[in-house]
Amino acid sequence: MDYRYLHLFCPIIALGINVIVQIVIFKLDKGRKLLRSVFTGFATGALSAGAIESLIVLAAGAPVKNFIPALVVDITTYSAMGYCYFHFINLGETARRIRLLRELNDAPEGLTEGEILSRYNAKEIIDVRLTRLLNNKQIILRDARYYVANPAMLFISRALAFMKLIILGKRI
Amino acid sequence: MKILFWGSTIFFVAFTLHLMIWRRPGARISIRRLIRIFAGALVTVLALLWIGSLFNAELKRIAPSDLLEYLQIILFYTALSLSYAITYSAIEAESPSVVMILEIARNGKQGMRKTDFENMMSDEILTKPRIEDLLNDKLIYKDKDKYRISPSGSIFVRPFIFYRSLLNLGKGG
Repeated sequence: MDYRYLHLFCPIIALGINVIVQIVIFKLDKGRKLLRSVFTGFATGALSAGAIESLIVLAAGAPVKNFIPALVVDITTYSAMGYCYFHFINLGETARRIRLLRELNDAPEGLTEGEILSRYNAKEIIDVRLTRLLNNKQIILRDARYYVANPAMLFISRALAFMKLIILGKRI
Repeated sequence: MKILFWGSTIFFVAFTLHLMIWRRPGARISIRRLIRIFAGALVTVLALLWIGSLFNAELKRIAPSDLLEYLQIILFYTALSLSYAITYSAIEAESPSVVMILEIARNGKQGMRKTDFENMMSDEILTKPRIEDLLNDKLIYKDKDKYRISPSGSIFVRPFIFYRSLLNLGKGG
């Protein structure tokens, strides 16, 4: 087989490794830290992509001068696919639309607006997010008031607000 | 290098085109339109490259040399575009966590109380617009006074249900 086919499949194989490692790590972890399993899975996939690229040079006899450009392409492709996988997990965990769809999927006879809001409402959305932000140490609670604890989360939030302004011309 | 160059170039072309269309006054913006722009840019540029390289020796030198390189460009570009589309949908939907973090930061040393969030974010802001989004995207439909999941909504949500039941996770949200 042409070794270049391995370049094509390298990010896909690395993503497969990412998914399997993430699921296994999460199932084995007694603390059930989802974010930790995502990072471990992603790092393992990235290392696998590097290993596959090295193997293509060492075992398949690909030109050494192509190693760095091929690695950059494969790692970028893999990272973008890993980012999509992270968002798939994140959507299931946090997206209001997915939760609403799940509620309606569990009720084949349908739900009125009142019934939907009795199962999933603004109060629950706020409670769940405050708990999640506290557990992930992104905010802290002091004297019944919440404060930002992690500058990285604030930076990401500001970056998203900036992107919204540039792309949609709207402020958060 | 051709894969990196052409994949990034097509992404830049699609992104610029999408930004120009989006910033036009009264432009119709939707995630479906965004995906069409990105898919259209890929097909157009690759078709121009392939046809151009048949007639122009200089273009042939810098264009992808065979089907495998075209496939690598498609994979590279698709991964980048999907990443952007996902980020875009997060920006458009306005994550409550992001709004909460920004509000806490705006309040500085005063911080925020839980009741401040409850006063600021009601069902009118957090839940009802998302129900409208699902109706507009035809993932649910209204039958008299009841909302029901549509066949496409059921297909869409199934991978999330499968994944979360595999990991014994709750309903999320």
